[in-house]
Amino acid sequence: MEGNESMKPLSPLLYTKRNKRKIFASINAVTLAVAFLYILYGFTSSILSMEERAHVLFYKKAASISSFEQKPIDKSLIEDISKNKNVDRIVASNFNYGIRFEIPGASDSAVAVPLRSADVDYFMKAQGIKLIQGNLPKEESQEVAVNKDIAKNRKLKIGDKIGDSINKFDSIPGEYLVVGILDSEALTSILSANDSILPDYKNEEIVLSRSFYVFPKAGKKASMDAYISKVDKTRVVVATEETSNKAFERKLGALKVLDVISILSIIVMVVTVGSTKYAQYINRKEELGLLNALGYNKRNILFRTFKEVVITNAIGFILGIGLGVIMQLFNSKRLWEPLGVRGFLFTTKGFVVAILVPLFTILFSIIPINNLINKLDPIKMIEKN
Amino acid sequence: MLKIDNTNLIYDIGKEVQTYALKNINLTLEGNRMIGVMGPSGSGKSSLLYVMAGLKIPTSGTITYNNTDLSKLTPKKAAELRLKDFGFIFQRHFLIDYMTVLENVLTPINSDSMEGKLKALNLLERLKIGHLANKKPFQLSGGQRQRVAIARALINDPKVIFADELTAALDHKSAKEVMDFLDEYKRKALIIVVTHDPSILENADDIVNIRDGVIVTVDSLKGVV
Repeated sequence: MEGNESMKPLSPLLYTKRNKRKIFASINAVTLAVAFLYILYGFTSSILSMEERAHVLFYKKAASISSFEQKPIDKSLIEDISKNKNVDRIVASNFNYGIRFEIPGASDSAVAVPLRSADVDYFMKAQGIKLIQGNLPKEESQEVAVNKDIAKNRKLKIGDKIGDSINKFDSIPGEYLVVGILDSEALTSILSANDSILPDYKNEEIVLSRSFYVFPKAGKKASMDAYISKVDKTRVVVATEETSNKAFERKLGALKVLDVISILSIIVMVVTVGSTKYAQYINRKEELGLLNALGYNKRNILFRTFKEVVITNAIGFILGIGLGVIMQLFNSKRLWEPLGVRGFLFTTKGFVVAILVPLFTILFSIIPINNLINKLDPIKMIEKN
Repeated sequence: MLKIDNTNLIYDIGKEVQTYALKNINLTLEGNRMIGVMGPSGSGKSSLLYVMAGLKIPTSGTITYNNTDLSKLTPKKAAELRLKDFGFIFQRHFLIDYMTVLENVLTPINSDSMEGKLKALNLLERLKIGHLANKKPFQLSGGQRQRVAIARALINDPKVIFADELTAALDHKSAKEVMDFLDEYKRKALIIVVTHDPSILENADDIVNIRDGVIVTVDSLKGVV
C-alpha cells in the first residue's frame, strides 16, 4: 500500500514515484538526447579509430622520405640519414599504393607497402606486424598479404584478388592475389616487390633514390623524428609522426559539425524539457502556494523542486547512458566488427557531451521555476478558490 | 497573544476610490479559546483572519503575536512562525492530489517517523476517517477531504488555528461533528473561526461581528475579549 512506504511527504522521490506518467515525457526526452549524443560520439570514435590506424599509427614507428618533384634523392642525403646515430635502418619502398576500405561515414585507403624480400622481416618486426594466416608475398609475383581488418572490411580471404582491375578505387595497378593475412595495430598490408610497382627493385640504390622508410634505433624515435624534420624540404618530401598527426587533425576539423549537432540537440532538449517542466510546475502552483501558506519558505520550496528536476534528469541520464551502451554494444557486434572496425562502448567525449544535456536542462528548468516560485502569492491562491 | 492595533487594509491605493477591506481594527485575542468571526460575504472577515495570520500585510497598523510585530518579520521568519505556531484550515481543502490522506496530514511536519504517523492516525481516527489513511484525495467525499485538512492543521500542535469557512463544504451533521472536535481542541490552542453561519459557533467563547471592514460588536459568550 502506498501509505506504508517510508518516505517523507515532501520527499522529491515520493513525487517522482507517484507521478511517473507526468515525468515520463521529461525523462524520455533526456534519455533519447543522452543516448543519441552518446551513440553519435561512439560512432565517430569508431570512424576516427579506423582513420588513425590507416594513417597515423604507421608513423609512430617510422618516418618516410620521398623525392621532391621526381628529382632523385641525393646519395649524400641517403647516406647521412642511414648513418645517423638515431636511425636503425632505411627500407626502400613506394608510398603510392593503398587498399580501399569503406565504413559507414567514411571511405578511405589503407597503406599497402611493396617490399623487397630482404626487407620484409625487418619491416614486419619494426612495425609489429604478424603473419596470422597463409604466406608472405614473394618477389617478382603479384601477391599481397592483407591486414586482417582490411580483409574483414573487403571480405577477402586467401585466394581472392585485389587491385584496380577488381575495385577501381584500389590504388594498386592490376590484380594481386591475397596469399596471407597480417595482424597489426596499423592497417598495413604488404605487396610483392616487382618491376611494376617498385621499378628496379633489385637495385636498392635506385629504389632508395625515389622513396624509403626510416626506422629508429630502440628508444630513439623522437630524436630520429627531430632529425628527419630538419632535412631540407626543398630536396625531399618528409613524413613523420608530427606531420601525420597534423594531417589527421585537419581531418578531425571536418568533424566540427558534430559539435554543432550536439549543441543543437542540447538546445532542443533544454527548450523541450524546460518548457514541459515549467508547465508541470504551473499546474502545481496550488500545491506550491499551499506549502508556502503552511509555512514552507520559498527557498525550501525551490530546493525541493530543484531536487525533483535533478532526479528526473538523473534518471533520464542514467537510462540514456544505459541505452547508449546497449546500442553501442549492438553496433560493435553487428555493424563495426564485421567491417574490421573497433566499436567503443565508452568514450570520454561522448560521456562529457551527454552529461551536458541534463546539466543544461536542470539549469534552464530551474530558472523559470524559480521565477514562478518567487511570484507565488498563497493568499491569491486561497482567495481564488 | 494576538493583538491588532489601528489596522487598516486598503485596496486600490492611489486610485480615486479606495476600498477599505479592514478599517481601524483594534482587537486583542488571548488564551486558549474559540473565537468566531461573523459577518456577511464581503464584510472583511477572511481578510481579518489572514491579516492576523501574517499572510496579508495590512496597509497600516500593527499585528503582534507574542510581542512580535508580524509586519517586521522577513518572509522566511514569517513562514517559520506559520509552520511552528499556526495551523490553517481553508474554505477549500487544498489537499495534494498525489499524496495519501496520511501523507497530506503529515505535510506540515514533513515526517515519516512512526511517532508522526501514529499522531496523524490518531487525529484521523478522532475525525472518524482513520480507515481512509491510505486513500488518495480523489477517493474521498468533500466532507472527508475537509476533515483531512483539519487533521493537517492540527498535526504540528499549533498554538493558533485559523479556520476560514471550514464547514462550508460539509452538511450540517458533519459540520457539527467537526466543530465539536475543535471544541475539544480549544483547550490547547486559540482557535479563530471565520464563518457566516452562526449555528456552528455555539461552542465559541467569543464572537467578533464584522461588517464593511469594521468590527461592529464583540459578543463575549463565555469570557472576556
